[in-house]
Amino acid sequence: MANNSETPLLDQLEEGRWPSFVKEIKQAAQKKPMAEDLLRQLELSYKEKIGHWKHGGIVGVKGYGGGVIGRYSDRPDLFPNVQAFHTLRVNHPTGWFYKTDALRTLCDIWDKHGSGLTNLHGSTGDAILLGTTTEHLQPCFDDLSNAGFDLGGSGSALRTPSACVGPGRCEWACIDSLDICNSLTLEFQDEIHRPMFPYKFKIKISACANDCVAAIARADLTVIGTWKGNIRIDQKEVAAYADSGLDIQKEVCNLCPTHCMTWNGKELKIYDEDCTRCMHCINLMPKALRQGEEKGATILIGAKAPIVEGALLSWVIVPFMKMEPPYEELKDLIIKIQDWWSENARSRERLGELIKRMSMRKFLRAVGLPPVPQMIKAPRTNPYVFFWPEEINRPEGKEEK
Amino acid sequence: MPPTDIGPPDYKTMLHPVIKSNYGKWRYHEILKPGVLKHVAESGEAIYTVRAGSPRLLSTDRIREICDIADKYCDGYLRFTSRNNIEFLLDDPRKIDSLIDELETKNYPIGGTGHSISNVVHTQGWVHCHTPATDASGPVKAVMDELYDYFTEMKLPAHVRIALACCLNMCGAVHCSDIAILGIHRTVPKPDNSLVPNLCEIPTTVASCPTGAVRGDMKNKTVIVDEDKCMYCGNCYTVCPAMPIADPSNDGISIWVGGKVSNARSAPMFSKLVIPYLPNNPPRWPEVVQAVKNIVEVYAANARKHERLGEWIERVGWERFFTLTGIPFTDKHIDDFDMAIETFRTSAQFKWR
Amino acid sequence: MKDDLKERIVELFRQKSKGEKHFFYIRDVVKWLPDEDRRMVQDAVKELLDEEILKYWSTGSTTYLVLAEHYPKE
Repeated sequence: MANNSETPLLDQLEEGRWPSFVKEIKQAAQKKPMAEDLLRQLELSYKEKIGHWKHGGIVGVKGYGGGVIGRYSDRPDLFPNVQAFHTLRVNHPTGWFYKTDALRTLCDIWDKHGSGLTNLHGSTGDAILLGTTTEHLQPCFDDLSNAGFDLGGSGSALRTPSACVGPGRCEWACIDSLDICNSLTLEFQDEIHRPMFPYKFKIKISACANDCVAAIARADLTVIGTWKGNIRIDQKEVAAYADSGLDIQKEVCNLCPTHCMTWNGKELKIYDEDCTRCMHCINLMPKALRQGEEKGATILIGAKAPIVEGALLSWVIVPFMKMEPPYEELKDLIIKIQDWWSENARSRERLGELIKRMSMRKFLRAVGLPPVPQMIKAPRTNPYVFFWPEEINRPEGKEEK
Repeated sequence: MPPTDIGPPDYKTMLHPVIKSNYGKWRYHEILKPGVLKHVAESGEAIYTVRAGSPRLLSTDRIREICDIADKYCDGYLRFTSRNNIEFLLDDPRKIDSLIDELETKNYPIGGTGHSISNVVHTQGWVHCHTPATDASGPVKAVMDELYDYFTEMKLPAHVRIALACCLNMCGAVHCSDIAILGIHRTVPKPDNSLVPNLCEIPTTVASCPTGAVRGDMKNKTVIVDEDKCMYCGNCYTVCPAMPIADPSNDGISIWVGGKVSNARSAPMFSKLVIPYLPNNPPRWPEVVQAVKNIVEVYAANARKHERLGEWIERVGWERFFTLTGIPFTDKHIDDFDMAIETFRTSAQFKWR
Repeated sequence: MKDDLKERIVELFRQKSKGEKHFFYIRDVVKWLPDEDRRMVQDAVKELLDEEILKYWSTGSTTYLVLAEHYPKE
């Protein structure tokens, strides 16, 4: 039988067991000519092995400098309904929790104004509304705002902060990642919506070192929950894990990175002063092991993807910070960091790159943080040591030039 | 005028009553079976989670279907994970099996928990990006069709996190994944000298280049790209649509492995290059699917329990990794960027294979 | 005070936009006014954006500022 479909290549992605995005586009195409043209343009991309979108530069809605990504088809002659096909980034409820009525409201607004296609969620964390015309941007925002939604960040701005599920559903949460994220988001609305930074700035909050939102890899400012004090052991539950087939010596003790635990078949001992709180043992025996009682966060900075100077992981700058609402200490630190970055960065220089260029020493002094060994893997091995002017002895009466 | 700067809807209004009353007071959790979690609070109350895979690109009709299901079994409460899975939250364990039945009837995969391959974090690709070197949704669909059983079962040594970014700007930040699928351009942007003068501001285009590879050609009112300096980010194309970067016969996919984000056991690690180039072969990218499958299978057969892909490679050595996977080692694997020398071997200790 | 600063910013934008270049970073604007406080300059720019004398233009990752009369047509 001849295949009369207009999209023979994409049709092949309707097959197979994993849910098909092609089915989603086809579903939306039943109602929306925009989605139909998206499908047809995508088929052309599959045929030619090339994308067909141009960037626009449009930033969206009145009063805001971001939250919209402009897109235009480079073949409007073939696909007139996606001549303009802009994305809206809608700031997700923290932790990506929804009640269905909120999701239905989003759907109704998007059916009224856009393609009927979404990403739940985008890489930024936002709910992505995928594709609408320039004329619909403002009315769509108006309807979103009236329904209690707001746009997320884009461009040289604070991007939509995100957080792990935290105390919402996790016994390992050392901090209230959801409340911290929500509180920072509300505090820094202007920084999210009106880009005034040298480049993007991301904040991500994970409530323990398992780091479910990849804060250490993806955020200029990384907050990771941790604790002080001894891991609390329930020996009865440890024994129950052993009875249920967990090989505690092999799977727990031998894999502990600091070898700070012993197991004699009856009792688990932890030498807590050697523990680096990696979470492995707790991950394996959540019923038996609980974190120490004094909870707080480690603050790290500088992570980013490769552009321009290579990918970076975040660096420790505050080993332990108490995290209690309204999080003044954290907010003050963020403002100081952003000020130093804004004063000193070249355009499109991320915070980590600026520190690499100007030195951690200058950064720490500027934001008023004391140097501590927790910040480094090892002290320097090169002899190119710089001292501050006041640390140098000068002959009396002679001022520094 | 509708209000601005209101921020997102308050997440507290979206929380299941059991979550609200046990917020921050969770005691422990269990994975009852793949895709099903039980979190128990100090109060003794429990919340159950059924985790389902999703293509991430969802129509409003599909979202309404998800809402209907959540209304039927979960009093309307659900959430999404950082890897695009849907989590149905319920307090009545008797409803779990019928919820799963309905989800499976509607072709939602159930899994993504524990030692599985969870959903693939990915970017927009040809669906919506302007500088993609490959599609995103298509390769993800093709890879997950092949690895489906790894999602619905927990048979791997540890978690395997796969991510895809359709160019090296990595808006999906794939650089710390167990397996990263990364679209790459291999040729520089090509200014159309007849269009640049009308469409582009030369100084802005020059300034847009992060590596100083774009020079102005004032005489001809166009720009010239230095092939030695360009690293294919497409920033110049973003501000100057008359210098496209895409090149169908050279764009493709590279594969990176061994990254991790979690601090459990070993410190977080970057992914490292293992396959510099595979061709774009839509609609099903067979070379990419085969490469990813091979790496997963070799890892599954050789790693110890709880060992992430990168931890296994660190233990056995990269020599062994290339031997076991049969992936050819080339000069592309040897770093020549900024901190390259830190990756060179500075000891006489190595393995023959 | 602020109105004066706003006028100077617009005047600087006009001067700098006389050539071929019309897109500027906020960092450029701050540098044009070395004696002014960065936050004051930013606030004045925000007001000019609200008044649509200046406009934002964004690559999605980077944001530029441009005089409304030089904003590219769709």
